[in-house]
Amino acid sequence: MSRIQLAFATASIFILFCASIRIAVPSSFAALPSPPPEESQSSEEGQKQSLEFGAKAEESAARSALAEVRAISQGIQALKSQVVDLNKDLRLMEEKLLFPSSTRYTVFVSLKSDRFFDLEGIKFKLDGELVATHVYSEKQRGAMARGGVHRLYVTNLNEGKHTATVFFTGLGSNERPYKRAVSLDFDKGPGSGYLEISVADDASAREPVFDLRQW
Amino acid sequence: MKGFRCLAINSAANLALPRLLCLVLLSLSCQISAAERQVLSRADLEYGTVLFEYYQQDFFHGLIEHAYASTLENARARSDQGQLLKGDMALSYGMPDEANDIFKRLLALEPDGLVRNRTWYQLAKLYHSRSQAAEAKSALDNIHGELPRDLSMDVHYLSTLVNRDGDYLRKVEKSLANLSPDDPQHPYLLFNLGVSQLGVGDTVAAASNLAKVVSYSDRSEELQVLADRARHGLAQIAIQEQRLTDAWAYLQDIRTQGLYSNRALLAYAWTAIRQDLLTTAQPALRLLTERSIALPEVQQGKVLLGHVYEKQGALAQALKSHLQAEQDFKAGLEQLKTAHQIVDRGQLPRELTENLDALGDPSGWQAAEVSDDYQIIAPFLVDLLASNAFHQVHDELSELYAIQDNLEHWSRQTDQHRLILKNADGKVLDDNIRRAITDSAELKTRLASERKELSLRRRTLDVEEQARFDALLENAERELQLLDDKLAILQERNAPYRQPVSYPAMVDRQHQRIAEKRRETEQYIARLEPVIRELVRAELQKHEERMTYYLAQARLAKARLYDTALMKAGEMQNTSGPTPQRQQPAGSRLQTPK
Repeated sequence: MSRIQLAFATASIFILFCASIRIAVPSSFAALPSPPPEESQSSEEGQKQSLEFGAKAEESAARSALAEVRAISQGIQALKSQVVDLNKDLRLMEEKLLFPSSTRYTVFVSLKSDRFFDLEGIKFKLDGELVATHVYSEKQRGAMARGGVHRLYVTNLNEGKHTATVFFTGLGSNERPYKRAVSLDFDKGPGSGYLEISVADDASAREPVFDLRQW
Repeated sequence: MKGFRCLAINSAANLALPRLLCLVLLSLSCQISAAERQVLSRADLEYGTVLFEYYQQDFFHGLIEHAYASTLENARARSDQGQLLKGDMALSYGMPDEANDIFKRLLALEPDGLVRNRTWYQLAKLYHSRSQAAEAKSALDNIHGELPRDLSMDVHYLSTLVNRDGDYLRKVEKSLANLSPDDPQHPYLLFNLGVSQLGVGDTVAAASNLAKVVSYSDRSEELQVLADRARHGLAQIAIQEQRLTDAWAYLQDIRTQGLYSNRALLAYAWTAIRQDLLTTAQPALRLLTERSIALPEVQQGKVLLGHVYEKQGALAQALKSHLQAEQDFKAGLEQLKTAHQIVDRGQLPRELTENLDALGDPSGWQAAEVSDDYQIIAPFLVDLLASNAFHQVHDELSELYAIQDNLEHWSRQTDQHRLILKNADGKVLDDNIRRAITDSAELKTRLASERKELSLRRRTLDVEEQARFDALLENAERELQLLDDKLAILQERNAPYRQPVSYPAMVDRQHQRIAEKRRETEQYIARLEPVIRELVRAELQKHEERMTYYLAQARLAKARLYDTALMKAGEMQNTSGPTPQRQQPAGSRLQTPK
């Protein structure tokens, strides 16, 4: 074997081994910064010395990167918390400006089951006027199927009689395109109101059930 | 370039994989039955918007929704479970300090068993993310009683990461036997358990668990990748134990495409070489050398292929292979120059994080295409993308960019807010209302006059008819009174609805906050952008050093081969006397270089 081959044979197999056998990170930790314990990294690096290129520069860059992140970590955490709070306050402020509590009316969409209907989009008409449409992504559908509720529309509505009409599009059983419209005449009382547009399953009829309900 | 693209996607898939699985696990960890999904109150609707963001893993907006629901005094947001979810989101959004406070506060309230166990689990997760293994272990020890299936899986998973001693791992292995092998986490648990067992030297148990992971390979693309990793691990265990034939068998089963195929092909070739199966090593090396020069395995493979030919005595092929390698390394170094230029450009850090995020979210229907610059630079960053330092900086930067975008959106809204205030100030009763008031007043006068007339006519009627007329008149009087009242209300509305005087000050205050937070965000971004640039530069430098080294090796090999050929030609000339033609060595078709 040549010198190169020998060097490869001894070092590369070892590098490959170290590089390939790492913990798989599949679970909810993925959402965390989840640094693997640092000591395991440094021990790996110690073993890889023989055929490492630019190791010093890489190590120095990594060390200073981690130091910088640590140095500003608390500040960034505080900033995130303050921005969350600011967003909440800004939303409350906009509601005060645009939707006084006496006339505010909010429309939500919920999925109570999704066995017989795969919701793709919604069109919402209020008193005959198309006021909101939404196309749902896979992620959004998944979130709704697990209990999430989508806030579709916020508006001002006077007390009295109104009509809401919703057009649903999606895939029914057997992946067939499915369209349906549902209407509701309702009385808006004093104070803010909620309207829930829901898609549920009728297990006995094996088909979806669409419903509008005022809360 | 196909290899480039493939690898860029694969590298991103490496990042995306945990996220995809995280979605699956989220669905398990907070499973809600159909009955629970029913909206039973207004509070359920309000709180449902928090879950909508949470299940999409948009923790930033999830926290905003939670804060908003809490302001509405939503009972679910304020409940123990609501607080637990808030802590979970804070932890996932990179606010461990706040999450820590929430969990500690929650535990101080002595919640019910399930919430308590989940809180301890979250705390253990938090400690693990800070590399505080002892604290994480202690938090896990506080989990008692019967656990729901999802929590049980999560706890076992974390245990394999936190507890690395052999006794504990055996306990985990025993309890794993009670869990369903159909759980999505099961193969990952087995894999991590196997790796942890390898760490404590229990290679037999490790090999057994890795072999179980291999059996999942036919279930999905994700699990095929995991199975490839497991096969690779098994092969390396076999190589260390000098069982080259076994290693060979494992390596043969690894797919020649996918995330771990490069390492596998190189290891396959090396194992063949060590068994003197030089011809068998060639196809793997040839396949490998067709891929991107940016990959360390490919770089090594290029030099190795020449050596395999040389060892077989195929000197012409060896020389050709080294010449090709030399050209490829030169091209690779040119690519590195372009990559360096991209790094020096202003927008690289943002582009890098945006492209990684786009690739990490393949399920979104609005998923973006990666940029050209990213496609050039990404193959050089495969190792870097998997590093802890890069991940930490990338995650923080990515969130800071998201905050910056959010605050820029609000900044644009400030003009709208001012416009709303201005319009509200200038609001007057419109013409329609004024006309209605005038018409109503005229109607009132006319009706009053008609009433007087009716009253006079009544007196002309006889007594019996007067009595009947009285009832009608009384009814008309009541209607008139109602109209009077409504008119009075309308007339009182001389001025339209005015917003409270405090609103302009409130709006200004919020606008100031937006400006302050924008400045602060930009400062943090300015501190982190050079850090990520430095990490990328160091990675490129590593590639440069490696490629320069291999380029030199290829040149040396080429020179050596020329020398050998010339020496052989000289020897042949000397032995056969002066001949007009130069003869080439047997078995080779070596040509003089131009």
